[in-house]
Amino acid sequence: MKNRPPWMVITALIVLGYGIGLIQTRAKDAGGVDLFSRVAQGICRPGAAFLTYVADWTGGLASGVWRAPALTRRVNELENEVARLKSSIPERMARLERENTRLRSLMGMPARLMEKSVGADIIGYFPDQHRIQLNVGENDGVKPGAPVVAPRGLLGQVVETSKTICYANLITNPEFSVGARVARTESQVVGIVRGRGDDILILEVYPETADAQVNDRLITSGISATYPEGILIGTVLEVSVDRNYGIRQARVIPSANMAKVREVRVLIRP
Amino acid sequence: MRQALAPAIWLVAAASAQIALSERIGLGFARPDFLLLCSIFLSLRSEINGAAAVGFFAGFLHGAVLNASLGMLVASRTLTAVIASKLFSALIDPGPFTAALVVGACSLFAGILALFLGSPQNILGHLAATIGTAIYNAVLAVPVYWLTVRTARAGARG
Repeated sequence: MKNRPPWMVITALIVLGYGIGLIQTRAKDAGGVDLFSRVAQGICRPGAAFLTYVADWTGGLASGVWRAPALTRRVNELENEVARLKSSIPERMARLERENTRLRSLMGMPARLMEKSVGADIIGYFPDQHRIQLNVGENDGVKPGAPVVAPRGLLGQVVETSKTICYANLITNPEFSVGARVARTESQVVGIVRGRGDDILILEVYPETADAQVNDRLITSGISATYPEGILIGTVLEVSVDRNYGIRQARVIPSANMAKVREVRVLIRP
Repeated sequence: MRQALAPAIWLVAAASAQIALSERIGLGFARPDFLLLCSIFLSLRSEINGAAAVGFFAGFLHGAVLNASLGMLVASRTLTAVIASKLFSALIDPGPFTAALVVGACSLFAGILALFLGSPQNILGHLAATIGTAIYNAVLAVPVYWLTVRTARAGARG
């Protein structure tokens, strides 16, 4: 090629180019790609892929460097936000626990046991005394006064203990009483629930105009050193007024059905 | 054959850059034409027939990889490479800015030649793109010239 006159070489190359261009055009018209283009594309594709990868990586790096001050500011903002949220967690947790307890009682769910508790089997039942015997005792940390909770609600209170067993009065026991609250958002009336020796409990609230209605659910009020707040007690069956004493009374069906309970939990104060 | 290998590798690399980077680093209507830039640089110190061969392969690769009008590109690139070779050898003081001038002028020439050979539908758009490419290539020519001189010196020392 070196010895050829330049005009001849240039003309030959241009003619060759137009010849290949003609093949390319025909292939295009047929909806395909000609052999020359396929070969050239195949040769250039790996390099193009590599350069695309490098450009993407470099672009990402440059973008990161460019945005670094803004990202640093954002990180600082988020760290401050995290610190603020962390500091507000204890107060929020307490509020949410109260709300959770209230909502669980409204839905008829047993209270979440916030305290340490020990599982126990009922190994004795004395219907005439409204009392049960459990297979846990002082060795398990159980002491007199500990509440006994069944899956559906409050069942009773431990009154006697030995090393390995204990006795608990059922909530239907005439000696049993517990502070109760109406678990209704509009009411929140507080009173005392007592056993009376049969299957029905009595709620006494002051004054006689207090807002306690039929079908209200009752939960432990939490105004007690013994019972945590929110354990379901029962449902109001009937309401009456005792004008002599100026109180409102209600008959209450216990939530925990002794006939169906075999396992319970005894709450232990830490 | 061995003499043709290095330009071929450079042209393939330029074609790869054309596919991968040209659109990505474009500024408005100005986009670099790596194949044209590479062919002009390879032609600067070549004799005419070699420059024509470089221009031919540059045009062929450009038309083939981008599926563009291959005949028009081969013709315009071949003639541009020949012009670049003649122009640069005629200059008294070749340097980076001379190279930039030659690259800018040749890019403009290639674009205008393509305008006559290919008769694009949007003539104003083609002219704007040609001017943009000429300026972009001229700017790129300065560091490329510097790199080629450094590489040549390092090769001579080695």
